Amino acid sequence: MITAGAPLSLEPTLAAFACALIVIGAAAALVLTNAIKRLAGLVIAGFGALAALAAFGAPGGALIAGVAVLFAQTALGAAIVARLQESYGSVAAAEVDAADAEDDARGPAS
Amino acid sequence: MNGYYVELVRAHAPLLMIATPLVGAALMLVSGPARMSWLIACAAAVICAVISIDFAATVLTRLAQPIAQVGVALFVDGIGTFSAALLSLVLALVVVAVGATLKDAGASPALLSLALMLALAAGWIGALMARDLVAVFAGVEAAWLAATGLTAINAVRDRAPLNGAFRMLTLGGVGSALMLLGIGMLGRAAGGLEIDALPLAQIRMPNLAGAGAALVVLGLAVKAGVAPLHAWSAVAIGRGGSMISLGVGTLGILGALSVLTRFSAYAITAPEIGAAISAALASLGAVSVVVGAVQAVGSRNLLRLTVYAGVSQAGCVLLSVALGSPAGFAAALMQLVAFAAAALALYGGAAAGRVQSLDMLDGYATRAPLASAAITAGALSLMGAPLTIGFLGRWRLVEAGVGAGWWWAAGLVIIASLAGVFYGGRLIERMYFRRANATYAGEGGVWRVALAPALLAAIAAIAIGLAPGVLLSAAAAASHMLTGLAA
Repeated sequence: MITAGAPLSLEPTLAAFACALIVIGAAAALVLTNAIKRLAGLVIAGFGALAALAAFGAPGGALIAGVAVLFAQTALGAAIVARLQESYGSVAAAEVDAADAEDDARGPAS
Repeated sequence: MNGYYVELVRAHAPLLMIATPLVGAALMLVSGPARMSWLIACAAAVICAVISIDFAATVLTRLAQPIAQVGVALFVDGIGTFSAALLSLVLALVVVAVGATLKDAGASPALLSLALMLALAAGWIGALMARDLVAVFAGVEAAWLAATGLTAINAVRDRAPLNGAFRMLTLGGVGSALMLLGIGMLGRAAGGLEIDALPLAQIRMPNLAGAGAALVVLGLAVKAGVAPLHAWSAVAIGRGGSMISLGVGTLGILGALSVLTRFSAYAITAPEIGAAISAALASLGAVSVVVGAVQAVGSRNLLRLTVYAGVSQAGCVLLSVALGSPAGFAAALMQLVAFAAAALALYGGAAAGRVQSLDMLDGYATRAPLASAAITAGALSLMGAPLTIGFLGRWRLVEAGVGAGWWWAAGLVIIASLAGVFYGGRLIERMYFRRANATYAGEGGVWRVALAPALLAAIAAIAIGLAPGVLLSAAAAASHMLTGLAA
């Protein structure tokens, strides 16, 4: 219920929503096994961080820097995922780690 | 007339320290053969190092050096100037050192690697010279993305660095989201984003500001490979070539640790949030010292061992900063120098003979005596042996820690040194007291000159330990310059 005369601010709600986005995105980026889903998690966390900046009233320059970094991360991530698929034949973290462990046991590449 | 130009360069030194490597990186993309590009990269890195060292010498002796403000908001402080000079010197040595192994990656990736290496250094130097936190964030992320790209494109002889690059991207991406959130919170609570205003700011919401500063520290700690946030480092560096070990393992981690030290030094001197930041840094540092030492003891790969020893060293840096005193900041700067010297000597010595696993070190002294000497000096410094820079750095931490009543920190440092005796001693034993089981796989002829940076670092690790006067004065001046401004 909105009381007349009380200052109305969406900031706490937006900040809480942004923090939730960051937590969900970070958890996905760190826990999921599929590299593409991890990348999607990273993008969600990035959007959460941008929303948080907006909620806290950060200057426009901060938002622009955040957007640029997020775009660069996504582009680089997509390129690395494609290279992972080419080199390992899979984008599942468990399979990639297992292949690395096998390579380790075999010794350094000549 | 020459004096006018020298003063002009000095007035614009912070901007030139960022621009020179960037121009060098741009030239990489239009230059011809790999060797020619390497020479251009060497020239750019050496010019950057000369400007940075001259600027640091001027600032740290005069304590007042006016700089020109041309569009970019830069800010000169002691820790930033000292660290930028160290970083640019390491950049010059790293670029020279990778010359011998350029062909490992192939012509095209070699050009791109050199460009990314220069961009990486420019990013970290930019973050060290930035005035507001958004510029710090931009510099950090530019450097981090360059490091990730450098790792990914050098997955040529071995595919493992590709997995490491993806881990760097995900962990670093989460770190950057946390850092951005922290910047927003800190800006909101402190009423501005200028880093130098932080210690004097009237912080309206101390809890929000403390949480924000802690998130920024956390985001930077991921990039510095501080335990337990270092899941990327061993995978990325452990099976990579010299481009990755020297570029990311030495230059990248040194840059991240320097920026972490600078930011923490400002945050910790802010009265409302200082105690919370100190506690966060101390706990992160303590965990890093112990986890790094334990993992280094169990490591069977020289590159991974160096990574984990670096994690332990990074913990010592955080413990020093956590003290929040000029003595602590000076100890942190000494630890940064010690880390740079040891990492250069160990990674450079390993790169000279393309050594990865510890087995390959057996009898290394007979096959590559100079590289073995470099590794030995690096190992001695890592274990904190007396008369090395490593000992000096840890001794300063013990001194500052005991002075502040932090006996437990002094104990942790001693435990880290004892672990260093075990893993460093194992390297020396393998190189000098075992029969060779492999042939030398490094470059011969004129390209042996690329070993020079590792040897220089090894000599520095011993020489500074023997005659530390200049470095101690510079570190003390740098730490007082920051705290003097903050007071």
